[in-house]
Amino acid sequence: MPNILEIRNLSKDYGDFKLKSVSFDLPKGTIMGLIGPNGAGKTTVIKLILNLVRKDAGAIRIFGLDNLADEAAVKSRIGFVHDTPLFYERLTLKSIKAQVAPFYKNWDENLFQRLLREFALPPRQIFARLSRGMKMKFALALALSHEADLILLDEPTSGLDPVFRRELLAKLSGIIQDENKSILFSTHITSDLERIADYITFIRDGEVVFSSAKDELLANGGVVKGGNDLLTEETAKFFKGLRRREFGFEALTDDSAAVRRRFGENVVIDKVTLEDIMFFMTRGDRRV
Amino acid sequence: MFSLFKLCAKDYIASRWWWLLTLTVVLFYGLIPLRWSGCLAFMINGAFLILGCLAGTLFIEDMFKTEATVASLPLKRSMIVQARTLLAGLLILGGGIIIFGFGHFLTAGFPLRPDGLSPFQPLFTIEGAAGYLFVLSFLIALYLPFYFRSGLFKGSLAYFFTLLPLAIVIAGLDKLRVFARLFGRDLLTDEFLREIGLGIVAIFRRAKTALGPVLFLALLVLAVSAFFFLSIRLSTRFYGRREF
Repeated sequence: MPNILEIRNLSKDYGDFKLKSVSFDLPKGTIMGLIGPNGAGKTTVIKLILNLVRKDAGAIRIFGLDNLADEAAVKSRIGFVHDTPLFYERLTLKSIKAQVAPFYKNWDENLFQRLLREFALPPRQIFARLSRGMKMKFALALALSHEADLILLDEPTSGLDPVFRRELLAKLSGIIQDENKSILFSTHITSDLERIADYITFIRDGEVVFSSAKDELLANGGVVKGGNDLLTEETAKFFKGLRRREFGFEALTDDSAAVRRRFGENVVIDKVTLEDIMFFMTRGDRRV
Repeated sequence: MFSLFKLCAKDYIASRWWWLLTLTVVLFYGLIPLRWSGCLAFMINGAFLILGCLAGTLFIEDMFKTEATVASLPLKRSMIVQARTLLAGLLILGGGIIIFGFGHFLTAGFPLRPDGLSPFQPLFTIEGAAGYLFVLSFLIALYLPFYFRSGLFKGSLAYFFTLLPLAIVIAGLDKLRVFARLFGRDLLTDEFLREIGLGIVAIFRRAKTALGPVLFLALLVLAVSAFFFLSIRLSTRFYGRREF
């Protein structure tokens, strides 16, 4: 499967925060979830893709083109939603659309009008009077109305009610069905990604901890629970993150089968969720 | 090229009410005949219209922090700089037509001076209009690199701190009558001493007489183009480094 987005050794130094040699690929026709704790560098990655901040090193290729050398051509095929939708607040939705639409050759006015109706957004409404969720919906409507091949969504579901979130996720799943479009989706709401993501990239402290297929992660991983007496220097290497409690430990593993072979029935292995992965990778310890 | 006009249209949609308000204030102020008793009032009014519209556009963009959204559109940073400069040019042109047209209407329709002469006469000549718009163009071309480097507020502050020494030097040279020695008797008129801005008109009048109107205007267009060319080059370099 060819990649729609390729990021290699991307680095950015803000002084108090560094993005360190980030690399990952987003294959065509897939959805990738970008997860990580606050301040991990998710938004920075998206801003670097859009050239809103300058990279210090590395390369970003989108549709096989360099994101800087072919900036306008690349961006014409990207739909974006920033974590805070920033438009001229005093304008109506219709006026904002009139500002944005002319920049896209493939603008589909019928689709845009349909999305406005679907999202219950009145075109004559002033943008400032919308709730955060409604503003996000409007930004989504703009991003989805020009046949974009790559859709970059930075926390798009924050502020949305659960009903609309589900509808949106279904819509995003529908978008990639033709297998030509891809979505990069940064979020804290990992349950959203469990529903729709094909790949997960986890970023912590500006570094990619892993970038893998979601099904593989969830199928092979597990949350291991057992007594503290089982923990030794040797057994700790099975775990990616560990929490010791008075009556036992909880740990994350990326190889449940290996843990089962090593510990047998002395431990309980629960199914892992993306939230577990994020929690153990962020807060977990590896020391025994 | 088409994208530049689309960006100007974006600014028009965002700022049109502010522009209309500015225009209304300018026209209303201009209707008070007493206020039109001198060229200085005319020049201030015109500057208020042109600079007010431009400043309002920049302020509205800054207030709603839309730069990141605009920079995410299918555009290069250089296009954003060029479009802003084009907008400034269109505002100078449009504002110039309005303010000189309105001034002409006033002087033609109302006797503003007992002797029947137009109080704006030094400005209502080729060299007058050219000198006035030339200075405004220079000030805007100088401002834009500051704006694109540091944003609206920091950029404006840096700009005014840069202009301050220039203003002090000009005022000092005027006091020392250096201009008069350099440019001759035209500058020793009462009008120049009363309104320093007209000194530039006097200089332009001398240039026009020496070069002829066609060459004079051609050189003037060349000079303004050079200002804006340099302004765009600097602004593009600065704006390319801006992060949102």
